[in-house]
Amino acid sequence: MSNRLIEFAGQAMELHHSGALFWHQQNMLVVGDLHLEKASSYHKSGQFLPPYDTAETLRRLAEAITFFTPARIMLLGDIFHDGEAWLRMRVSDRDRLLNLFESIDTIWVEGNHDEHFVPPGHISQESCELDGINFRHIMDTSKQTPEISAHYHPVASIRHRGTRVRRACFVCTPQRLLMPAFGALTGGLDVGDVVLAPLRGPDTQVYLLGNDAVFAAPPGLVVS
Amino acid sequence: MTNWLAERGWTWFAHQRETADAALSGHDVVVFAPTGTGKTLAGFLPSFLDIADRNSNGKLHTLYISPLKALAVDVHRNIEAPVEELSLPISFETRTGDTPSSRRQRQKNNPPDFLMTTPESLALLLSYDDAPNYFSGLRYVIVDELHAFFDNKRGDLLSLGLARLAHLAADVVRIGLSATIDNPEKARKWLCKDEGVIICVPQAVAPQIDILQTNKRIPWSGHMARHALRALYDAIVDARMSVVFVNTRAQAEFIFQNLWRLNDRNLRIAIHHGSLERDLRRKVEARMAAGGLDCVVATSSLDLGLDWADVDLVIQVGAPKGISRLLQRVGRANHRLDEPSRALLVPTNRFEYLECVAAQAEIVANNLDGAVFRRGGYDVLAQHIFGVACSGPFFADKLFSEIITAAPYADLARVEFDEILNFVTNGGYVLQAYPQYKRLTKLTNGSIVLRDTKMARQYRMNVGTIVESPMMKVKLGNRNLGNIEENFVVNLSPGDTFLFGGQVLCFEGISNAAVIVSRAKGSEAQIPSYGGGRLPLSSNLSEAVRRLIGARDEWCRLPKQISDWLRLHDDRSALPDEKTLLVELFPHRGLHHTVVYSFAGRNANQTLGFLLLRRMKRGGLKPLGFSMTDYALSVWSLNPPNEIISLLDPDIMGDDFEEWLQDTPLLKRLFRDAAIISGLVERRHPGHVKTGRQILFSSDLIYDVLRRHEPDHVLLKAVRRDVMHGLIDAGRLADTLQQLHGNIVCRRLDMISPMAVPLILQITRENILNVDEEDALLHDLEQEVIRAANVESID
Repeated sequence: MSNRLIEFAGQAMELHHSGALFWHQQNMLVVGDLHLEKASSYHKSGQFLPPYDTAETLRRLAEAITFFTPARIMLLGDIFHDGEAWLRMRVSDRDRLLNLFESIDTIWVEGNHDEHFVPPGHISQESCELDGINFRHIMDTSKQTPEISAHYHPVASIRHRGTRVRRACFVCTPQRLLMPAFGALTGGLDVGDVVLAPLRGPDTQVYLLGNDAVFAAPPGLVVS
Repeated sequence: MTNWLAERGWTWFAHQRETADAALSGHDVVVFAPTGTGKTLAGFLPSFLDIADRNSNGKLHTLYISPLKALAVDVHRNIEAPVEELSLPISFETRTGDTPSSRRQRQKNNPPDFLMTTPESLALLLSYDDAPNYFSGLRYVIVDELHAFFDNKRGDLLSLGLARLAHLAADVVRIGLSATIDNPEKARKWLCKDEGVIICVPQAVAPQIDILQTNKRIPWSGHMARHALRALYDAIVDARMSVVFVNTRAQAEFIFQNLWRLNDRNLRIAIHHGSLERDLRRKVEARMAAGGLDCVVATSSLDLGLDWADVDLVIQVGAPKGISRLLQRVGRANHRLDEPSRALLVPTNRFEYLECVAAQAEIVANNLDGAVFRRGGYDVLAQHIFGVACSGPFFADKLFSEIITAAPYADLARVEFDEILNFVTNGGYVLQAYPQYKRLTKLTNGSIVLRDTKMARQYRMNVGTIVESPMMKVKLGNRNLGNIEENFVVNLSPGDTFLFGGQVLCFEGISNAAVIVSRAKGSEAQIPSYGGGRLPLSSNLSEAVRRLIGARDEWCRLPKQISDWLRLHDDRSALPDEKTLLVELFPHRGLHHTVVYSFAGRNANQTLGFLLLRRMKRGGLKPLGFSMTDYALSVWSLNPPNEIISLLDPDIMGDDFEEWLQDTPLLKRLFRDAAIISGLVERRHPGHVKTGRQILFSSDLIYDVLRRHEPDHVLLKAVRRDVMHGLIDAGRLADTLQQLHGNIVCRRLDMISPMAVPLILQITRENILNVDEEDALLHDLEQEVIRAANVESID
């Protein structure tokens, strides 16, 4: 397993192939856009996607937690696909989620999808600042403080030896770090899209999620 | 009517009379006839006679179904003349996906006597609750181009639709119009209820098929016919009006552009392929019908049905790939029965030359390709059941017995049906989620209904079995030039030039989900090797090619350069004739090549390539990749294989195949289609992709989750049924290996053999990798960058 150690805002951050980020100094894991119960949200309209995405996402989260054993976890919004997702979740999945957080401090940042829902016994906040880094769900381009955000589900394609590989990715500029979506059934937005233009620049680095490693993509090879 | 014909100096053909006799006495009929024999009129004649007897009763009398919208429109035009001139009291209209909704509404409330339509539109009509009333007066169903329905999901859909119709209007007579095929009995069973009549019309004059002769060197490989352009142009000049058929869009663009370069006679040459904007295509068709063109360069988008009697020469660039397909294309030319159709074959490389010569011989011997009849897909059945539910309550038992009257589903087991019904009801997952959101519910009397009638909209938006590969609009300024495959675009970098719509375009970038292009300055385009839409070589023709290779006394029919090539190959290696599975081993540029001359078609060869990669990897041979054609496949490795017989043991189709199937990206492609057809995910309509938002989910992710958590789900089974044909072609590969396993001839050579040259020259640009291989590629890229960085720092 090869994680990627990077420096962001003067801090050591470890990027994990699951799409989680680990902040060493804070002993904190960061994940965003789990979109739990996304599949079941389509049932209402008669589209029966396989109802296994929540279990799959929680399996991956458990893996990341076992690997880093963090003291804290930052949940960067859209943890639930909608305000009723918690009600739709199977009891066993709910228990599993709460068990994962039993001995970990949680910080819940509000997303746009889950209508500020947090599981019973938890509270959420709009954004959060830790050691000079601002955490929020959607990036705020009006601010110039270092910021880690989620929301856009960035994906990037690279071309090498005539083959194109498309993967979810971290996007990192000196000022901002954009998290990939962590959920098992989350689609993506290409980093070439206009709404991500503010992140483009000579110092922007894209890290693609591999099967069990994180790969740095040379900027010139990222195609859209 | 006889008078009307007589005025034109025509009389009834025997098959037209026979068709009318059989149909009017209540029998289903299948007419097998070459193009241009008055087949369409034969189909309509019973309807004309019947309605003239009983007069219109304000209900739909005859349904004409064709695989092509354009054909429905064209036939509409063709029967307009007799109907008007005979003042038959018949109203007739066309209904396809392009028909405006106001007219569709009117057709629904006030049906015409005759309706020309497509299988998809039939499915839609059947899904309305007034379908029983709408079809209650129906007497005849005419299925045109019947042969185009046996081996695909549209055929499944049509067959299910016909079974439904039989339930709504019991004494409907079915009339099938088919090109000549090798197995009329099977076709009869496919279409007819019980006692159907077969009517075969022989070809009056055998078509005259020549191979274009040039004094140029015929290339070892490639598909662009660069060597033959001048001779091709001369042939077009000599003809009154010609159609140049090609196999791929890239070929169409290349040939079109180069013909114009040679066009010192200012011939009117146009281009027609499926990616062009519809209006542009319609314009070309109209100009052609009006005799306003001298030549059209076209892909199979122009293939079916349309009658163009003025075309006196059909040119086929590239190998025909199948006898039946070639005959149908040739039949487009010269619709006069007493004169032969004229066609010219233009082989683009040496193997294709063999294929063209073999095809000539097969046509003389009238050896047609075996028509393939597939087993009906689960996904299409799911769509059909949903459609039935939209039309009103149904009983499962009755629906099951109706469905097994459709030939593709004749051997469907009740448990399979129940599983699919369950899938339509609630997704069919072991883990039951949200019973309140079921799509179908059971009433107390046991009948099944749609829970919410609004869901019918979902069905109607997604009806049909054609899943196009994702396409992107091509924009030049504000002008839409057409659509291009997304898979092609992702391989372009800004500044790359390519041919599209007969122009050289420069790729600028992507904006708002459209491909932005400018006019390129130069006239040379970098032509991509886009392989989409290529059909594999038919088994029949591949056998004929092997026979030709083995028959040295027939080589006199070949140009000297081709027979020399075969002789040289025979000297250096061995001939891959019809009794031999030739395998060659030779080193080339530090790698060991294993070339297998399977002649199994490109899809089956691709599958074999993947399987050999696995086996060789396990055997420590360190294979690095493979390339394939219709004829052969080459795998290259760091270590040479010691033993060939066991490498090609047919048991490769057992565990190895199963394992490979688990994680091949090809299966994901099949799954994407099945997910859309079955209604698991909704169709993305082209041009509706919004920018600035994440796509909702991809079928690849669904596939991964499903495979991990419910590997026996019915949709995964549906995909497994589909692998036997088409993209994976497991059935044909298994047959080939089985047949030839005892006859493997292995040659160890010092160097590349003459027949292997095309494989080695071929650069496979479009690699298909699984996740692990993709990761290896990313790793490789990173290492490469790191190395480059070190070099720079030392400098």
